Amino acid sequence: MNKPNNQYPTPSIWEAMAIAAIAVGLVIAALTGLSIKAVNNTVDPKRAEAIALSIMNYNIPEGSRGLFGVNVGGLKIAEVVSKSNIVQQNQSLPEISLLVAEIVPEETENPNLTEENVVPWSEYVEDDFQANQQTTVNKLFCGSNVPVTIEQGVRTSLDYSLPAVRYNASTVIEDRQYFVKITTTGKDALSKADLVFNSLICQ
Amino acid sequence: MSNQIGDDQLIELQGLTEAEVSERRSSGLGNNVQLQTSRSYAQIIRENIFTFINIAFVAISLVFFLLRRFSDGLLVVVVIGGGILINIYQEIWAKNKLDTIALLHRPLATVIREGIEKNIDPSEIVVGDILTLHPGDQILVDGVIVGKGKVEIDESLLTGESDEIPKIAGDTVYSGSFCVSGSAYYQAEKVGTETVAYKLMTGARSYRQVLTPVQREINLIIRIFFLTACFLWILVGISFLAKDHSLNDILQKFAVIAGLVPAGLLITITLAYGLGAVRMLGQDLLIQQVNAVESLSNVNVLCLDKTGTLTTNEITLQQVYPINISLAELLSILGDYAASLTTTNKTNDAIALAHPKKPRPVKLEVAFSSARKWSALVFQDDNPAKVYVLGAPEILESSCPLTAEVKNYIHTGTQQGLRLVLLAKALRFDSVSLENEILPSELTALGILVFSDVLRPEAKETLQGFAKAGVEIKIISGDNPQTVAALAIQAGLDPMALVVSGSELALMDSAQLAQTALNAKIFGRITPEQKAMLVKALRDAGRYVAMTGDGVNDVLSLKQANLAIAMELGSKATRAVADIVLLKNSFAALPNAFIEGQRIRNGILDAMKLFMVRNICVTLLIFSAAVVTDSFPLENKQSAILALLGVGFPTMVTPVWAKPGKIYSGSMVRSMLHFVLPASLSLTLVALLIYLLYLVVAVLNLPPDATSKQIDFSIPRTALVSILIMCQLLLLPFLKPPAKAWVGGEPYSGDVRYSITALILLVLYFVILSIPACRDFFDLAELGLKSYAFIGLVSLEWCLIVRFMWRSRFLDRFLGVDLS
Repeated sequence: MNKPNNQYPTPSIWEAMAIAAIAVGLVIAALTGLSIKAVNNTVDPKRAEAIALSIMNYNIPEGSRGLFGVNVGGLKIAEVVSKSNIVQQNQSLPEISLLVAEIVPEETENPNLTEENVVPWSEYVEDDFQANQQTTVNKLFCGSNVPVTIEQGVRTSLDYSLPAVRYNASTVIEDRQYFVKITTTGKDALSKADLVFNSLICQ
Repeated sequence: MSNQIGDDQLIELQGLTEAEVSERRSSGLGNNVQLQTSRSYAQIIRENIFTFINIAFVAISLVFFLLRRFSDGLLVVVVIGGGILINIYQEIWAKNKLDTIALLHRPLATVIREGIEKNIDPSEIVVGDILTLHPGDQILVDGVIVGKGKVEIDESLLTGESDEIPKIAGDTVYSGSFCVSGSAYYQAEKVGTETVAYKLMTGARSYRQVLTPVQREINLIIRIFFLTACFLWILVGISFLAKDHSLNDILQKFAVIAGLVPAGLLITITLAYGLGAVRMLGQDLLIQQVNAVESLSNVNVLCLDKTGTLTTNEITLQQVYPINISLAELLSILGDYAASLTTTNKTNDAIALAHPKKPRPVKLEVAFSSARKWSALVFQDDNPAKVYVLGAPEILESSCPLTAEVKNYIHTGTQQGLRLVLLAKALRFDSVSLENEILPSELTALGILVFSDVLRPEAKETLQGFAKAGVEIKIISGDNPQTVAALAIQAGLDPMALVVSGSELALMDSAQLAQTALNAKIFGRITPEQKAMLVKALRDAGRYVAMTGDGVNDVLSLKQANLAIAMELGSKATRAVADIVLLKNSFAALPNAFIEGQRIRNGILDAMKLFMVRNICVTLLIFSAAVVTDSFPLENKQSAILALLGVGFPTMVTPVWAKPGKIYSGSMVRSMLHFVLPASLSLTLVALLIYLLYLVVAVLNLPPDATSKQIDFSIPRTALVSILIMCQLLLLPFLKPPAKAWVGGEPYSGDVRYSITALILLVLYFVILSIPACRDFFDLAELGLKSYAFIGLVSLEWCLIVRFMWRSRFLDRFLGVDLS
């Protein structure tokens, strides 16, 4: 290679390092800003409830509030909880928790999407619910008769243990996957879960 | 013909009758043909309209109109149309000026009809007309000398040889030549389209348009971007068929892609050329081609066609060398001789001018002739009678013994290319023999007269200026090589320069000729064809050649040259074919034009750099945004504001504020790579990152019930426009560094005007952003102060990055080439 003829001052290694450091600083600042915005968006109760309502209509007795919501690309997921709480050992637990999700898969990803081959992603969500009994019944969900997994068990922590019921269901409507997970706590958990499930109308 | 050529009395007294004239004119034997004095209006308009670039931009404007984007289409039409109009106006102005010059120098013909001399317009001459010929007259039609008269004709405008050719009855004279001395009649034989002058003019007027390197490279750049645009249009068209894009989306993309073809560059060029022409007003230069001044700045070889370019076409008596006589006595005889001769010539005029005396009565006079090369005079009041003979030493030497010392003096002078004349006297002579032009046999030398051509006062300075600017001067002349060499030395050219004659050149094969064209500086006795061959050889060797000329014989070589320069008093043919006409025949204005050309070129170069960075960057962004995000980075109006603030306004000031200076000898595009490549690549990367960052922000800002198809792209696009405008404006201080800190892409300039312009345009951008109506007009979103501050910081960081890349020659090292 011909040695380039340099008529300009040659920069020092320190200058290069300073430029790199500033660039890294700017990238970090940008990512931090994005992260903060993302977290704020996620935990914004109004936004979370709006996302949940954009996925499906529901009716939670005594009203609801958003817990978190994400709407990124083809994924919408939101959790709302009832305003009514159960107070146990100085801890407040919502009576009803509704987690809804909608995934718009890429057409090429799964062209033959059916209820049988949808990903049961909600099984991977870990929480303090421990199932003792599980039954599957067919129920009407968003206009389709789908198998609904009903788990009965307890919600436990170091301080308490309360009876709880969980409904898990999913369906596919026009190539969109809908998921729902209802967790109710307390003595009327089953009837509350059933009430909420029956109120669901996909958008 | 009714007249008997040779029957002098009849011809001289009668000539044609008016009836014969009418009959001949009606038979088509008249000279009523209009010779073009310059390019025609149609030619000027045609040459300016039908260019590839114009056609390409008309296509672009049609695309805009088809897309119903009338304002954009109109803008392109205005840009192209404006440029064309300015160019046509400038060239028509030059044409009118040339026509006026031609009219001023239009000769009148003196014919003899029915025995009476009449002054008529040359167009009224018919075949068979007898025309008078006196010193200074131009020969208007081809003919033959009739009668007893003798003339000496300067055919240099036809042949390039400045020798005076004696003509007597029966000899042919050609239109376009001049009578230098003597008087005679000639009879018109060929008129109108049959004349030599017309045939040469016809050849001269054939199409000639030479693009400068700048124009060629701009054409190349525009063609490349036009091809890129075509390619992208095809891709976008395919995407329209393959995906569910809306028609409006597609139209937006089409319009943005059309904006990639840098129409603004043409405004810059028009502005630069126009400013150049304005600056050259009153400089005794007539610019016939709009690109001529800029073209001059590229010249690295200037060929002068003949010594007349360097001299005033006059000679001066430089020195007198007495032989066996006192100097005072010799000068007295010379004064008498010059004052008393009735037939004068340049040599005699020079003596008379140097030593003016009153004429003495003449007993016998033998006028000078080029063939004989001597004149003689016998004064009536000399007692005893003696004859003085003035002539070429080599002719008189046979009758006039010279000492070795005198011979050596003559030899030395001849070697130096000086014109030497010997004055001798004879006490014994035969008057009858003398009248019959027989040289007396016993002559005594009285003195040697040394004449030299008078250099134009500006010649030396002008040539030195060119030499200093690296322009090689070559003289390609029809004159004697030694004479040319002597003049060249007087004019300050290298005394050791290789001198080559036409006869030597004729023996060379093409390879030798090419080498000689490069090595030799002075060429003498060169035929018009050889002139053209030499110019072509120089061009083939990569030289950018300017050629000066005044005669029809120069047309061939002028057309071969990159830049043709003609003299005001030259032939119509050379003026018509020239790019520049030197008014008053002075090339003193050429150095100024050379400097102006440099300024034009540098201004265009600066503008091109800004355009290149913007266009490469936007093109790469279109591709990379499609790959990374399957989106299109800009809307049409966003592209428009980017073009306007980022390059449009800045490139309007670059031609105005450009300074003359070093011109890169190689490719302009190549010379720009050092500046353009690091800037455009790094800016693309930084802009893409900003676009992606704000695309994520737009995604996060999506309303809860919105889908990904409802992303508000105005946010990332506004961020993209902001970073691009900020960085493009920051390029201005890099282009003309106001301080050492900005040095990297270009050398230190110290000119703060560019930086101030950048600042003003930045403020203007923020004003647009802050006024909702303006912001909405350009489809921009409000990002918030924090975002603008962040983008501002990123643009400053980009400055550091690009300066680092320039200074460290990062890309040069990576690519293994020297980009500057």
